[in-house]
Amino acid sequence: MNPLILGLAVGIAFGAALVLSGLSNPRRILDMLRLKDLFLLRVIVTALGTGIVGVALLDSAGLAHTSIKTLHLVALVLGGAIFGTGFAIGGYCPGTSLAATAEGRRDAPFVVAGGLVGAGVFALVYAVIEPVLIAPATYGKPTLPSILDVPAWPVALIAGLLVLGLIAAWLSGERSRSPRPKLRGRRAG
Amino acid sequence: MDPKPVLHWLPGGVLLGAVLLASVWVARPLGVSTQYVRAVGAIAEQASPGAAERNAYFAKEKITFGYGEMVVIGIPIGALLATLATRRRSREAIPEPWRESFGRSRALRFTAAFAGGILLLFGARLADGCTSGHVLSGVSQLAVSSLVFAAAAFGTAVLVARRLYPACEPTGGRP
Repeated sequence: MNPLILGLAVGIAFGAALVLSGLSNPRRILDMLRLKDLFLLRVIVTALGTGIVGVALLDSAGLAHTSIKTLHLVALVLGGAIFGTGFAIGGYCPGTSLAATAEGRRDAPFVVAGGLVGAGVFALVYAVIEPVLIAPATYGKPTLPSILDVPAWPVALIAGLLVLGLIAAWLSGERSRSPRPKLRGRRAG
Repeated sequence: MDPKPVLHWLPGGVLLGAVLLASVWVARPLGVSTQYVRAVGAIAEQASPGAAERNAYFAKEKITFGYGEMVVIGIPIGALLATLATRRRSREAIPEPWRESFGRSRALRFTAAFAGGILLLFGARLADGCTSGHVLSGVSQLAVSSLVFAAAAFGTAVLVARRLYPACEPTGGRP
């Protein structure tokens, strides 16, 4: 099938998922980051559990198109810290700001515009910072199973079980708080 | 007041994970921040032909158009469809935690959002990925680079957010 059509379909599903799960709402992002309401942490942990187990299954069936990013230790820590600061100021990430712009949120297009500027500035300074911040401390493309020297499936299984345990604990916590738990929607904080 | 999310966190998280798996199955993991570079590179190429080849970073990331670019075009389309289908169009300009700390000035909020966007993409390009490419896609593949990014990004974000928006008291996942 045409990769452009597949990409559009996956993108539409992704954008819808970002809105429907609440991830495109900056109030919920900021309330998660200030540790006031961990609703979105539950969304993210559930998504990662699904992703880890699913990728391992697809991979073992020979159906996964994986792509591991290189471990540039300094650039990852520094870039992560700069990213995290922008995340905490805006309450958006590069993908959710696009979804939130379409949702009608009025601050979101400013994040997108700033993002284009940030990407442009990085392109301008890349040649200068690459030999200093990116090239040193480069350690290939390790995964958790590869550095532990074990097959992927036991690591994915353990991670999946941990996430299942968290989901069970969160669900039972909700059940004990409300007499009739609903699986759809919840009150705004 | 903004409305409650449509989905409970459990189906919401499974849906998000399923979208990633669909992408890994049909083509490649999800990513968004590279497309900001390609958009800027395409604009630069229009303004000054040859710019995409002269700049080392544009040359490295290759200003192309394919699957990944269509994913990013699809994001606002899917978001708009979901918004229309659930009749939850938001007109919010200032999220509540921001208003609590910095007041109702739209100029201040929009300026900060713009500055936040600059940091977001500069950091994502330095780290070679964002919450999509590193956190969702990379952690799902158990990549060490992505685990490092996720820890640095979320650790810093929590520290900064606790300073900018002092919360009254933690309530766990409670509404």
